[in-house]
Amino acid sequence: MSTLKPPVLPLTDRKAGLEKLLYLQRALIIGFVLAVYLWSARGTDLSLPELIEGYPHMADFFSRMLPPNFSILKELVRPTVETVQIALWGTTLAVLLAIPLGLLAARNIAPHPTLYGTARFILNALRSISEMVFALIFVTAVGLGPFPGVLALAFHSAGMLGKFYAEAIENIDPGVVEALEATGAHKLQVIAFGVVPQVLPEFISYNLYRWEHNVRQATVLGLVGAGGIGFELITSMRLFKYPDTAAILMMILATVTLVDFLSSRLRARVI
Amino acid sequence: MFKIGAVINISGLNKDFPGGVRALRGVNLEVQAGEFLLMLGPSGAGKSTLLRCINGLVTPTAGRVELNGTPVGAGGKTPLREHRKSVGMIFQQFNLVRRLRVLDNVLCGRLYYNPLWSSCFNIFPQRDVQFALSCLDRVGLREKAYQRADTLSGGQQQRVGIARALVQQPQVILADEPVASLDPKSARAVMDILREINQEDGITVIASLHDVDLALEYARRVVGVREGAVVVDKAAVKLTPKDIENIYGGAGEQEVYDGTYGRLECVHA
Repeated sequence: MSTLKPPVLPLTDRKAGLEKLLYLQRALIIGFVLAVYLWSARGTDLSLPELIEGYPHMADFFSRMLPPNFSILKELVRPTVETVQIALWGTTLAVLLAIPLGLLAARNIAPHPTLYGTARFILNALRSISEMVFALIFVTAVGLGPFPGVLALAFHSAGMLGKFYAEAIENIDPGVVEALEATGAHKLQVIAFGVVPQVLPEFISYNLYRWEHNVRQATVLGLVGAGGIGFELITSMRLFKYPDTAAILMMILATVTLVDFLSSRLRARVI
Repeated sequence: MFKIGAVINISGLNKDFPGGVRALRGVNLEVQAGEFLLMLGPSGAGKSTLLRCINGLVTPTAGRVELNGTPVGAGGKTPLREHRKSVGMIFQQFNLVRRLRVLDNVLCGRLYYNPLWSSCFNIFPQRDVQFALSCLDRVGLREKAYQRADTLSGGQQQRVGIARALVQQPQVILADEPVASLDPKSARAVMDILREINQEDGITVIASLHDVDLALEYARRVVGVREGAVVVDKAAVKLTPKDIENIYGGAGEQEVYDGTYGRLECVHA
């Protein structure tokens, strides 16, 4: 065995060899990344000339949107309010679903590895299906209207929020949990006093973020018939009423801006 | 068999942590009701693990811990909670819920006594609130009851920790390096309170310390722990420099504990 020892190079030679290897490694990584990008460009028909050629059409489209038809604003109020309402209930149901899932998916709180694994799996599954796909499913299941929109936001957001909750819970100070366990408190009491106060600010902050996101998301749910202002948007475009489209887009912009503002103000207060 | 008066009886206690770390090896210890026992030993000697075996926060690999003759951890979760209720614990880092008020932190010590659902919503009977306030009074912090816990200094937070343990109406209080994060003055205040509740309420106190001077000043009995085993167990007044050397081992540490020897000579003089 002792005869199989590798030759011992002088230190400087070994160092130089190692550096060469590092250069080679870097070159390979850069080459690989470039190859993936080129390959994906072909896959997506990426083409600058086409973008330039398409410019007149785009200019034409935008010119037809002008001037925006603000006379429909009054009719837009109801679908706009509905959009915010969908986001409100979608987020709230998501929170209610995400709390038990998030608790079970936090390694330091989960009562059993099987429950932990199951909760993680459910959260991953919910996250991997986007709101629009859920909306298509629920429109098929419960019919057109805002309710399938609420369900779509609730299920996807539950996956996102549950994961956030679990991460926040995993980052808490374990000493507090230990101290509460040491008093003889029940597991639920330990959660109520040791976990909840520690994660509450983050929890509220995530929920507001999600509500904000869900308002934006709810503006497009109407494209698949799941309520909100998206339905007006797609209708106006299908009927080539581009000035209406422009007014609707501006309404969406105003709503989203207002909600973002409100939510960030609220977040600033809890942190 | 457990003797009359022994509140805690530990026999043949071993603890191996995953990864092959042996924290405790064959620990035997009998603690009489009303004792004030201080544990000394270098960091990593197993003091924290030993304390946590006493209230079931750590499950030993072998051996048993008895409280009033009843083995800890026998019979499932409810007896374990009842056992923990009888054993208060305070911690080096205080482990208060920082965002809650001082009073709420103290009331945490009453969770065992209260129904699950109302207590989860922070609803406690008036007599518990009064009792919590009186415990805060004992540690000199009644006027801080309605402040958030993280507005208090370290020494004050540790006193809240003691109030939280007191409100459990425990037989035993375990203290894991209770003064290691405090300045000398606050440390003394905390040790004084521990001594007071030991003497006035008859609560058995078992604390780990790394400050030998402080230990000799307060302890009636000193237990030295080294590499997971009890190497010294005697009355504080009978402790010799050789015992200290035995606990901390090696010539390297001697310089660190030089102050001790002077103090020990005083004790013997």
